[in-house]
Amino acid sequence: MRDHLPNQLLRVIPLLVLLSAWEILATTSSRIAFLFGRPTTTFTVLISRTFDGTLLLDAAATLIPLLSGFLIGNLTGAALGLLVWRFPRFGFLAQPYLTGLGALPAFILAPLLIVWFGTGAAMKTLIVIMSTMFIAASHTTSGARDIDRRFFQLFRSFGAGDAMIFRLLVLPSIASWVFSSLRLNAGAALLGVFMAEFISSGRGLAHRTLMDAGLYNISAVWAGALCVVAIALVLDGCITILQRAGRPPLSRSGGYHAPTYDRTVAR
Amino acid sequence: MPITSLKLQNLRKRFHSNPVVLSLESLSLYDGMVTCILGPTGCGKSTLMSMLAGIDLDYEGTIIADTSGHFRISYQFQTDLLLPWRNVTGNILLPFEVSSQKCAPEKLEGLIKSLWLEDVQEKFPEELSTGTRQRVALARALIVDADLRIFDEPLSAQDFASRLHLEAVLRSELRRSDKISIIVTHNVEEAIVLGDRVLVLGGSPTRVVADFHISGLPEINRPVAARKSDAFASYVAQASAALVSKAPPSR
Repeated sequence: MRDHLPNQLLRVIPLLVLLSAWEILATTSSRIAFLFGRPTTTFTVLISRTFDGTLLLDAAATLIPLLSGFLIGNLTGAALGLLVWRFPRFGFLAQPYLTGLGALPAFILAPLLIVWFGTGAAMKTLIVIMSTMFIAASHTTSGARDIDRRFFQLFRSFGAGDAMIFRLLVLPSIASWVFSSLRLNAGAALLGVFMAEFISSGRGLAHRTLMDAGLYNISAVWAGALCVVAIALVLDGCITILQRAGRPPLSRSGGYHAPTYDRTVAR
Repeated sequence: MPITSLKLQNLRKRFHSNPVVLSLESLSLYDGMVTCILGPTGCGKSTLMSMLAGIDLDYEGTIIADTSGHFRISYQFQTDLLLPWRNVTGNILLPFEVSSQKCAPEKLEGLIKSLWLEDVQEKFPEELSTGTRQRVALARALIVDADLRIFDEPLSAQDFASRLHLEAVLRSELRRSDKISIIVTHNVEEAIVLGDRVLVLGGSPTRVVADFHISGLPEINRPVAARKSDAFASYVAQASAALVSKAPPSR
């Protein structure tokens, strides 16, 4: 349900109050301005960097590894998760490794990856892949294991083969799990790419923020933080759009609530 | 018209290395005959059904399906097993989608009408009552032209008035299709109204304790008319006696 416009405006008020108070305090005290920055300066930094192209270059240096790593990580992760589910013997062998690697924060390996691949896009992409792959794998496995085995018997009684069962039963069943892992992984991927840039890199949004902090340009640090928030929101919005588009055609006629259907009903 | 039959011989079922729980010496089911199976809860009726449907292959003995071609099965499970992301029509047509065939529209319409599903065609399972969901599952089982049709407690969630109506629908559908039909039920009256033959299972290990054919019941308006007839009362007495004669299986 959509809120009324006045209510939407109401939500902006706390932000405006905070920013105005901040701005006023920063104008009265240069100490506060130095330590906390000024909202208006943050704004001018954003504008000037947009027009001189540095923001675009930094964003590209961050977003390309972020998005490609996110895509590759989730796809290979989901494929791996399905293999673990479909071939229990393989799953039995792979489980401890997957759990171990999944528990490992990928940026711990960043120093190694920097030695192997340098500080460029390849290293960042790899860290994002490693940050996302294992969550995607375990979610996909859980989703597939969650399917009531009597559904498989039902499909067998129709005479369905493996490919048919995969298309008509497994894929739609794991969809909600895959989307929830995409959401979780959006955060993990952002964290991965920023940690990679913090540890060592030549360009990128986090790299720029680290430089700004080193120069005590606090307002510019806030500008960097705003960019991160913007990326997170856009990524989440894209996942929501994808989720709506990914519904099976029959369900589009209405009445279907994709992410929240009660699994227990099917039992 | 080729005769289709299903023959069971020395069928024994045990779970892992536990003692035999189900033992059927010899049983033949022919097409055009509706067989109803009665038996206490937990006696292995559903297990037997999944063996007949070819889902459970872990048994001793033989099940021979004698048919001229591909042996198609339709199976209504005890639970409705509707796919939550498909609406009612989508769920009913699922077997056709699996076999990449087209369903005749008038057949779908007829079933939807006779099973009282006209108002819910576009709805999703989570929006439906248990009874409606069961009728959707029944429609999905009836829409296929199967050689063997298995119904595991097909009307258990229906109220009595709906049950009378649905018994008539089920009976006429099964009589018309002229295939092997097996209905598992806990309701003695339902077994006699629906069946041409009633098998009572019981004992330990579970075996056939009574096997009798139903005849002389009126076919027109069968659920109500049959219940009024004299023969009906004696069949009920016969089946009930068989059911209580054997102690329920120890669990």
